Amino acid sequence: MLKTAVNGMDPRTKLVIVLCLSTLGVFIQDIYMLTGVLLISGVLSTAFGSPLFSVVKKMRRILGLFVAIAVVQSIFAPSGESLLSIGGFTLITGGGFMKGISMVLRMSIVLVSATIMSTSNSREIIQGLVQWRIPYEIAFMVSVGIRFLPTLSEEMKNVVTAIQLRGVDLDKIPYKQRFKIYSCLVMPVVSGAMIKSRELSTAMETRAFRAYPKRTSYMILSMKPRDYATIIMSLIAGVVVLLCYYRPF
Amino acid sequence: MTLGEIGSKIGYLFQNPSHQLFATSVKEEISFVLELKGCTKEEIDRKVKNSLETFHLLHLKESLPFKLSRGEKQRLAIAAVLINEPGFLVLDEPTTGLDMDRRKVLAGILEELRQKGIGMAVISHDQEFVKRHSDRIIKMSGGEIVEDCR
Repeated sequence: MLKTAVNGMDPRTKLVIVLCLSTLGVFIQDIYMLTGVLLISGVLSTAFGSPLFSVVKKMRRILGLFVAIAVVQSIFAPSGESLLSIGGFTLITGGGFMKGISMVLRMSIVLVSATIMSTSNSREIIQGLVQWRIPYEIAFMVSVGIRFLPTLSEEMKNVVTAIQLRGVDLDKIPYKQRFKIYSCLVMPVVSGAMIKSRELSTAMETRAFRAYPKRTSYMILSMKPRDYATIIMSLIAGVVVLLCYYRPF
Repeated sequence: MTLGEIGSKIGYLFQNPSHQLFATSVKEEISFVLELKGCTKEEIDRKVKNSLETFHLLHLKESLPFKLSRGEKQRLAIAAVLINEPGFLVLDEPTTGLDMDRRKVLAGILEELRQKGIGMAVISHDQEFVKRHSDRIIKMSGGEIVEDCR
């Protein structure tokens, strides 16, 4: 039923939902509430038909990073009883561990809620922003950013493949040299992005981008009553949750 | 077999040379593998100089690979592949961006490698180059082999 209700919603509505969820994720500290927000984000993301499971699969790769963040949080913000200590040095404390977990939950909320936006194409998002009176140049920059993200990750994969095809077995070389190799990944990606952005700006100027002060659009988005209702409900829900959290009755 | 193990036996030239350049200078692009293999400094310098001279890149040795022209990138990518002394070569459109003189240089190098017993598969639309330097031509269309002549 939820799937039918959210089907074909305006990208601006989705943007408001994502903003509400990620704002809650940033401001709330309580682990149980954060878990609740994450669950709601997951349910909404699935209802919108976003590729949530493939995103979660991809997130498995950065699971190590999440664990590292949890441990670092635990070390630098210790509180409560000691859970793990080595040679008298307390490594993980109860309070620090909980802070680490809440950080991981917060990042997951931002990532999972952002998948809702992937159910609208970039043209719809840019049009939504333009109709919200955001200058076309800025809206266009957002869409270019969205478009280029997969290209950057593909370029990184290309470089890793190119390095391996030179006969370098990444798993067998010492860590010091491996670090040098990974530093090579940054160079082509950054320079490639700069070259591409220069070419793109030239191409845009040759096609008279910003030559006229007003632009018209072939695509016009129109908000339906359910979009307005969803936006109002999301905002009210967001404010109520924050009020309950900061000023409990 | 890992990709690294395959790469140590087979040299692969990408269709777009920009995709396989990653170092901060032309010299480093060629010396990269030699350094990882543990070659001595003298050996690296000698091999790199030879390679740069062969591919007419000596005057660009300190340049940033990404700022080179298409033809220069192509020559650099081929030089970087050959420095590894592979046993077999796969070259995807190796003549793209090369002028007539440099095509001749490339043809000479490939002929030398062939005489050394290094096999190679060349993927190319440059029919003249292919006819002149190959001993087996497999024509493909729509993903299928339409002609195979030796």
